[in-house]
Parts: sequence; structure tokens; C-alpha cells
Amino acid sequence: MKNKKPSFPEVRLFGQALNELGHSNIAEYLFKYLNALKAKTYVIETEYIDKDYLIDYSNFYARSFDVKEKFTIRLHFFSAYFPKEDIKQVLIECDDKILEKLNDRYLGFIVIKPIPDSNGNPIIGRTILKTYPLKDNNECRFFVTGKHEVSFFGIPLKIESLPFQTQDEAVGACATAACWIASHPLNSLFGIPKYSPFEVTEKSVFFPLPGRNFPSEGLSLYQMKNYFNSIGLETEFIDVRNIKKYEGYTDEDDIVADIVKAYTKIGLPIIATLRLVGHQKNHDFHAAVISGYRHKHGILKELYVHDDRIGPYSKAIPVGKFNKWDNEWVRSGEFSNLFVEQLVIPIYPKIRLSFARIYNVFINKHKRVMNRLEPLLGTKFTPSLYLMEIRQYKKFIWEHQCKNKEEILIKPFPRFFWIIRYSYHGTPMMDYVYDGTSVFAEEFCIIEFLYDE
Amino acid sequence: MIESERKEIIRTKIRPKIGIIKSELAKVSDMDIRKEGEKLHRDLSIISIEDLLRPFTI
Repeated sequence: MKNKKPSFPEVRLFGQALNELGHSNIAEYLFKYLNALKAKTYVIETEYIDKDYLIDYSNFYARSFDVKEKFTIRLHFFSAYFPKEDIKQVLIECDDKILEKLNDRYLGFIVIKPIPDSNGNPIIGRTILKTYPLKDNNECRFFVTGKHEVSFFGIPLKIESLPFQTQDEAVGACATAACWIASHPLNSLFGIPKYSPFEVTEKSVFFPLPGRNFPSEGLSLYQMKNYFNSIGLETEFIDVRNIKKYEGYTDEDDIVADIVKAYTKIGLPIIATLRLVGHQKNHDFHAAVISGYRHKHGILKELYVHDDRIGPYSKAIPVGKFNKWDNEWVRSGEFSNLFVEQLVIPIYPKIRLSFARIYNVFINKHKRVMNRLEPLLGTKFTPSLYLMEIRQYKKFIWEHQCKNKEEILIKPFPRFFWIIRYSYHGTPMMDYVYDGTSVFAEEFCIIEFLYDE
Repeated sequence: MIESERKEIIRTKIRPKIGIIKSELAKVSDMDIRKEGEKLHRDLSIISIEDLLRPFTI
């Protein structure tokens, strides 16, 4: 290995990428996704050491008779054509102009594990790809992302995204992949350590179930909770089916959309547990991470989901409300219906005011009063509910004009709080702030935004 | 509608009505609706043992 002279990486045309990715459904999804991001070229990094895979390798594959490779292949994608001489120029001469172009056109990377899936296609490992554009005509997109620095043969490239990887049945199924994906924003938000898929499953199965731990037979809700407990987090479980019992809930309300908006604002991932109904009325159960949404003035139009069996940022369109999705599972014909059953949100223990308690205030007080005032005001203001963190919110206040701005900025705030925001076509007018560290909903302050000339 | 138009509408047409919204909201005490909140808190967090133990297998 140390005597082998490495050859300089090739720049290949994007159209050839399936040669490396294989022909699994996920590989084909990734190819289409990158095509939508206007990928033009890719560069192969051979013998790449991926930390997650290396840990899984040392814990599982190294003790298999048919020992697999410990190296992976990493593919880097760009939305531009450039000769390999350009890379050489940045590599040797640190050419700033080409570096800027590389960074500007970098779409991210896909790690390919040296293990085949049950159909002989390579398993897709850690994948960090650019999101869809944040603007889409007169609509906007919002994503749960983090900043990632990528060493492209030593050249520093940056990408803002949420990591993805598909399940490797040996070390974990969909719920393991969902916990692994969710752990990345938790690391940047709360300093929570990140673990490989093997480690996620290993920590989860301290709560035992009759099935085997490895090869994994899938985690349950209890086991997912056990994983988040083990890394020092609380878990909010919301069974969205039970909202039907709540009197204040109307046809206009959509609890799944409200939860997605509320928690993703702070950057928290949401794990959705899904019931897939087959054509023979058989049921299968799946877990995936909601990673963003498209909206118009705060009204959600579609969700983006990191589904380890589909791919990153896969689109889910509501069927009526967002508790029922039309997505790849249904469009492919494999299942006839898909229902969201529970939403699982790993949260910092200091966030004590539960979603249900603040949602009651949101629906039963704010939305109800707004409905009543509609004829008097001549227009309807639909408030939105968000969980916020002090630094994020005070920066927002600092950037805006509001009543008693100085007093608000120097006033001590709890670290976490819920806000009920009144906006006009997306422009904020007034925030009702509730202490997120208290058990029950307690109004903390009201902030009025000013738009004086 | 562009942002500057929205801000103009907020300034001229909506701001004068903010007082009405605030006073109507102030009439509903958070304590008065707490009972429903507790019920909702219980309902949304009730998950059957079957659901809790069933592995996600896809």
C-alpha cells in the first residue's frame, strides 16, 4: 500500500456515474436528483476511509469469513465541466480563482461501500448533497442543514446539507438510518456525539426485543427512545392519529405541517414513522426523517424526506393533509397508501414545554381568537408556531425593528422558547413568546415588529 | 406582492388593529385553557404497547 504510487483522479462526465453507483433504486434516485441539480462532472476518490463505515467494518465485517474491503470509494460531483489540469492547479498552486469555481460548483459527495446489497448493487454510504434551491418561482424551500467541510484531496470545499445514507441490513435497518441521519443536526445544535450505524443499533438494543441484534431486524420506538436517552436527549413522541379526539382541531388545521414548521425552524430533525398499506391490505412499517419543506408564505406545499430506501430530499405531497403522503412508495406502485402515524423528535432535556401543551394554546387561544376577529379585521391572520433558541432569536430581533428593541435585546431570555408568530404574507408583525423551559405554557413577552419609514 | 408593499400594508392598515388583537387575546387566560392542554398532552403521547414494540422493518 505505502509503495503504491497513486494515479491522479479522473474527471468524468456525469452521465457515466451509474457505472460507479450501480443500479439500485437509490442509485437511480441519486442520479436523477443530481441531474436536477445540473451535475456535469464527477471525480472518483478511490481508497477513501469513511469513519462510519470503518467503525461498522471493525465491529461487524472484520469478523466475517468473507472479509470485505475497509476502503470505500467517494464520488465528488460538480455542476461544471473542467479539465483535470484545473484540479492540479488548485492542488499544487492553490489557485484562488479555480478554488472559488470548484466551491461554487460543488454539489457534494456520495460514498460507495465495498459491500453489495441483496441484488448485488453497491450499498450507498454517507452522502452529503446540496439541497434544492431555496427559491422556486414565488415559493420558498426550507431545509434542516448543517455546514460540512469536505477535504477534496486537501482542497477545502464546503457544503450545507443534511447527511444521508441507506440502510445496511447487517448493522441496521430504516430506524437505525433515521437515528443516524437525525444525529447530525443534534451534534451541531447540542454538541451530542455522532455514532456509526452499528453503534446506533448497539446502543438501541440495550432495550431488548426477541429478534436478533445483528444482523439487525429493525428497531422499535422503545429502542429508538433508548438510543436518544443513551446520548443524553429526551424524545417527544407525538401520535398524530390521536389529534382527532381534540375538539379545537378543525379541517383547516394540519398537525403534521404544524409540527414540521415548529421544530425544523430551530434545526431539529423529525423522524416520521410510516404505515405503508399494500394492495392486499397488508401493512408494513417504516421510519424516515423529514428534512425540509416547500412553502408559500408559510403554507406548506410539500415535504422533503431523507428516506433511506428512496434517497435524500425525496418529495412527499400531501393527500388532503400531511398525515397521508403521495411519494415514491406509492408512485412506484409498491404500496397503495402511506400514512404518518407518529412523529419522533429528539430534544434537549431543557426543552420542557411539550408540543401538545403549546399547541393547545396555539389552537385554542390564538387561532380561535383570529377566526373570531376575521370579520372585524377584514382579513385573516393565520399565526405560526415555532420553537426557537435564544441566540437565533436575538439575532433575528437585532436585524429587525421592533417596539422596545433595546429593552428586549438586553432582557434575559430562557435558552429555548416557543413563539406564536403573526405574519402578513410571510412578513412578521407580532410574536407571542412562551418560556420553553417551563412545564406549562406561560407567556413570557410580546414583541411587535415595526416597519416605519 | 413585494416585501415593501407588505410592509406598507402592515404599517398603514394592520398596525392600527394590533391593539384589538392583543386585547382580545388578553381576554383568554392561558390558565383557563390549561385543562384542554393537559388532555391533549396525554392524548398525543399515548402510544399502544403494540406500536411501541413493533420493529420498523422496511
